[in-house]
Amino acid sequence: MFSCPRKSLGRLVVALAIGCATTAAAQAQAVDPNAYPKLTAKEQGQLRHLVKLSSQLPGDWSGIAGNGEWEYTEHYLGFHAAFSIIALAMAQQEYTPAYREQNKEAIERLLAQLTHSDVWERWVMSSRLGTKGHQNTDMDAGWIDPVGKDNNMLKGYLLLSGSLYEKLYGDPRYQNPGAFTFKHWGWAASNGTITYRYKLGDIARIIHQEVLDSNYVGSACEPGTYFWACNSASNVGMIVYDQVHGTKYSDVVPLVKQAWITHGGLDPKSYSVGGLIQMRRGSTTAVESVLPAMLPMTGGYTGPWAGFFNNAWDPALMKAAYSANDGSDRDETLKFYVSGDWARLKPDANRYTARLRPFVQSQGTLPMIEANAPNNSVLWGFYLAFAAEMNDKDAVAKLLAYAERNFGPVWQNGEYYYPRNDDYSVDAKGNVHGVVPWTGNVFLTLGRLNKGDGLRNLIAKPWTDVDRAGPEIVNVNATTTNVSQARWDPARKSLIVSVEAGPVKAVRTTFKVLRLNPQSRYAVTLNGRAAGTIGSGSAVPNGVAKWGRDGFAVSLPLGSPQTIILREL
Amino acid sequence: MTLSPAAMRQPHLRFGLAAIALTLSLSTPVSALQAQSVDWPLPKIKIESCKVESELNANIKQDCTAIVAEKCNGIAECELNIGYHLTLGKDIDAAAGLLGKMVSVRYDCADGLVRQRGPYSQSDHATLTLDCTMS
Repeated sequence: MFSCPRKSLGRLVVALAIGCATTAAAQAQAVDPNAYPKLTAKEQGQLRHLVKLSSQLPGDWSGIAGNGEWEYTEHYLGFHAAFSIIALAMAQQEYTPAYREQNKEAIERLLAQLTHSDVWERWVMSSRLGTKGHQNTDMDAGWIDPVGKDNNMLKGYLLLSGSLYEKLYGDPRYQNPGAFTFKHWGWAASNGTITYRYKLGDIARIIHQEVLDSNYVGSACEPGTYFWACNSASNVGMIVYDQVHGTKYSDVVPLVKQAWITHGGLDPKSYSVGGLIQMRRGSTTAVESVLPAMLPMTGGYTGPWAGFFNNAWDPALMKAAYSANDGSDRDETLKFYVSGDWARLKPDANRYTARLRPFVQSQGTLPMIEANAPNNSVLWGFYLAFAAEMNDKDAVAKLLAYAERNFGPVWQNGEYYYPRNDDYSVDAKGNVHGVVPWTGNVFLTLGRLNKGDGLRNLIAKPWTDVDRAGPEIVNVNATTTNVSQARWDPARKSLIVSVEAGPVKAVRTTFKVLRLNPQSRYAVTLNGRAAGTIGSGSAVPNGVAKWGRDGFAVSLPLGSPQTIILREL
Repeated sequence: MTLSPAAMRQPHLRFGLAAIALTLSLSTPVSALQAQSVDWPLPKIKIESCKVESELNANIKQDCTAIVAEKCNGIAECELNIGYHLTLGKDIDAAAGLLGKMVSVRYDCADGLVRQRGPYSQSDHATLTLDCTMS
């Protein structure tokens, strides 16, 4: 390998040094920052908004909460946090794998949101349910423990979120006893508190056992109530957990799929899904009723939700389902969401093929969904997330255009988002301004930054200790600085970092680089131009990089976007 | 003011008298307060009973009074795990399922009022707070 002499003696050596720099620059030019994923300004703004929402004081749900819609998911505060974690995890791996501190801390705060009483205590009410239809009394006594049994709509997402965190950061904090603590206060008006303490491994074990106990139908949400969408998430949670811990919990995942096929809730041949299996009260194996597989996997309530997750481990079926029937399922679903029909109380079902017609006909007829349009705003978001995961660029472009036109996006403090709007009126062209925060904050972020197989890549290309051991930038001032890409490419032995000015003005930004090889020298390239080489104890002439006793420090101006490459020589 | 014993047992009257007493004590000159040595011992827990019962079979039950009393008697506040140690590590009725063994604990705070915690499902992950500090 060519190496430049470290000391110069006169013009000959100066000439040699210039030649070295030129050669190094030529080699560094081989590293093209445009060849690596980079966040756009809007994507950065959307992620910054999720980070900001994660940092609100406990119990401050402003910008997150809706108006009581989507009762079936306990008003979705928990889902807002859980899907925000997925978005941040996706961005972490895809765009900024070498810049972790911001997303890591945000995910920790979001996991804390999942244990806030406003989120988990909804279970005290939901545990009384599961009696839909003809089973027993209207509401049961219920129970408080949000993890011990059922409630997969919370613990499945705790499992997935905690496991993604472990996988990305190698931080085992959620394996500590009491990592997830749920305290039911009642001391002021009862005889005292009761506290439930679990760690991530408990949750994995419990969900797995519930799958076994149900003959592979899954882990119940409300008592006796099993949803294909919910189990799709916990299935992926078990897969990620196994990747980190070497357990075999996810061996049951294909068996869950088969159980749903056997019971008629899933039909891979027609690419249809029903989505709900109810067990007889008091039993985990006696199937009482099955919502038959009749809606396409692209549309309806269950299809996109489950499909978004199932692509992680069953991509062949998901891709085939998405383009099924010559793409008509997808076309019809997209039409539903860009025509305004999603917000109409009684859309004209005759405009749709027989495949989607039952779903369209059901609008406004389901007694549990009184606020139809806000609930469908959630489904609008799910379809966008699914379309992005399926790499359907055309659908994503149309949905994003619809959002840009109708959902009133704002730039505020460097954040980009679509604020909640309760106006669900539909104009003659199908435009609707209404949007719930789950969609405006989270799904629109997922839809924009996921360039296809984003969730699948989190599972199919899991980080290992080797990935986590690569160089990383830290101590970035996130208020003055946006990091649009940060990646260590081991094949090219290069760290590529791009930054732009953040919402708070500053002349320069500084950060440290960890885990460079102190025995090596690095060629420094700034905005495509060679800036010199650097080794331990030295600096490049223009002050951009300095490797002192307190570590490797970078200082960049923020007047314009900057890209710095450190290539190991 | 003279109040009958029956009236004294009325909670709202007791609260009112306590509020008056608190106000008077706060009005006491500081020097007077400094001259006093006030001892406000907190009432202590006395376990009356603990039992674990199967929801499925009323005949299946186990007493856990001694175990809980050893941990909680004589202190003002007690964090009590209501797991399987209460039944010496055994599941007294597996057929009752994960949530089907119910723990109930009765205790008093030396005020003649017996408090009950539970029934709550027996679980190694669950902890009750028995509390005499608010008595």
